[in-house]
Amino acid sequence: MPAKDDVQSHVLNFINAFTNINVDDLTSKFLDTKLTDAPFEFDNPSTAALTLTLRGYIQNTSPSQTILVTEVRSDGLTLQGLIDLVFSKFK
Amino acid sequence: MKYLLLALTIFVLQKSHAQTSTTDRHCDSIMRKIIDSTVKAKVDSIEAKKKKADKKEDKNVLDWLSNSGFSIRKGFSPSSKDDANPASAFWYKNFITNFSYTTVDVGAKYKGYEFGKRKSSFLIFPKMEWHKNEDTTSKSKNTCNTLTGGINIEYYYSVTPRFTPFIAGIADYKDDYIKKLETIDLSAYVSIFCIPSFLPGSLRVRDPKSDGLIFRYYPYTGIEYYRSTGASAQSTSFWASRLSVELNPLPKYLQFVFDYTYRVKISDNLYKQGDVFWLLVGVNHYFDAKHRLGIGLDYNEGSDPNNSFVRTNKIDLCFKLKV
Repeated sequence: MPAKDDVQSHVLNFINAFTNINVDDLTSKFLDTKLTDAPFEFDNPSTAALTLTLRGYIQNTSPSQTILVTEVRSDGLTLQGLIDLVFSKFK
Repeated sequence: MKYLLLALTIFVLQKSHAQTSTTDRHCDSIMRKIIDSTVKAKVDSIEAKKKKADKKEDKNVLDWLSNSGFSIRKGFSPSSKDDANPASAFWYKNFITNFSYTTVDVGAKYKGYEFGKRKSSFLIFPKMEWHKNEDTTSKSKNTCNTLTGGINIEYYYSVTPRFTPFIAGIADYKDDYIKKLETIDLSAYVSIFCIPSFLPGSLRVRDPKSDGLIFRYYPYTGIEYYRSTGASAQSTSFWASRLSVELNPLPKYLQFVFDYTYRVKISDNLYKQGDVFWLLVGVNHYFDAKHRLGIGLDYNEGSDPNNSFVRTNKIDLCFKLKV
């Protein structure tokens, strides 16, 4: 099972790849920001694409686990919430 | 004698120290018990308050709806941005002239079901929508009162992590109370989400200072089919192409929206309109950087797909609240 810091680092790198917001800013300013709020502004297609990316990452380590689009779209999910959600898939 | 007195003093002092230590230990033990019980009481009190707060949260209908997987928005049509907008309802009545005006745009959906594989996801969810725009004079062409129930589907397939094509479709039953027209509406659109900058859906074109999104767009193309119910059923089908653009020149506060759909007639016995278009041009000013509160001006022109393709030309000024 990967460490929480390792999971956080991967998730932040994925968010950086999607949004072009650098990892330092993500960590210092936007951990409590909802994925659908500015500056992220994830919409339905981008949350689905992000979920498929995260699913690939999770299943590389835990093939029996998955993450659903409906979980990532759940109301009020913040960046920290997403990190916690991905980490919970490895337990 | 002197040594005896010294030995006695030492003995008394030791005894006294021993007694003091015993007393101290006793006091420590009592203090520890008091502190433990106080801390325990405090923790119990906090937990009780938390439980009470949780119970209070459960009592909130909106929280309960949200936790149960229900969403309420302006609408859930894949051919519009309504699912990003809050529901709205407005009623006005003048008791002297008896003039009244009602406008309602409410859609509710359940989170639905998802079938996912490693590289793809298929989502299906039920929804209901009510759109009403009516006044007591009922002479306006834009008057509408429609109730829609049906399902939305979404299918995403990740070709590579950078490119995710998708299909968004609906199967609806719509009842138009003004035109006394019941229809079955089916549609499916194809589009793509890309990570690289300037490609469809990309979220990477940003203001380097504020990290705000500057530009995003999606092209869609697809088929729409409308069929009336009843004995003399008529139908209309279109090949529809849509371009949706979002431009944020001042990402924190100012947003321009452009949404254009052109429908090419394939067959048209129901609405008898031929080729039609639907244009939305909007400008939004937000009061906060997270875009939760703002004011917007929307201009619509063309044949309104939510109102049986009635020719429409309108401008709306509205507050935008997203919580």
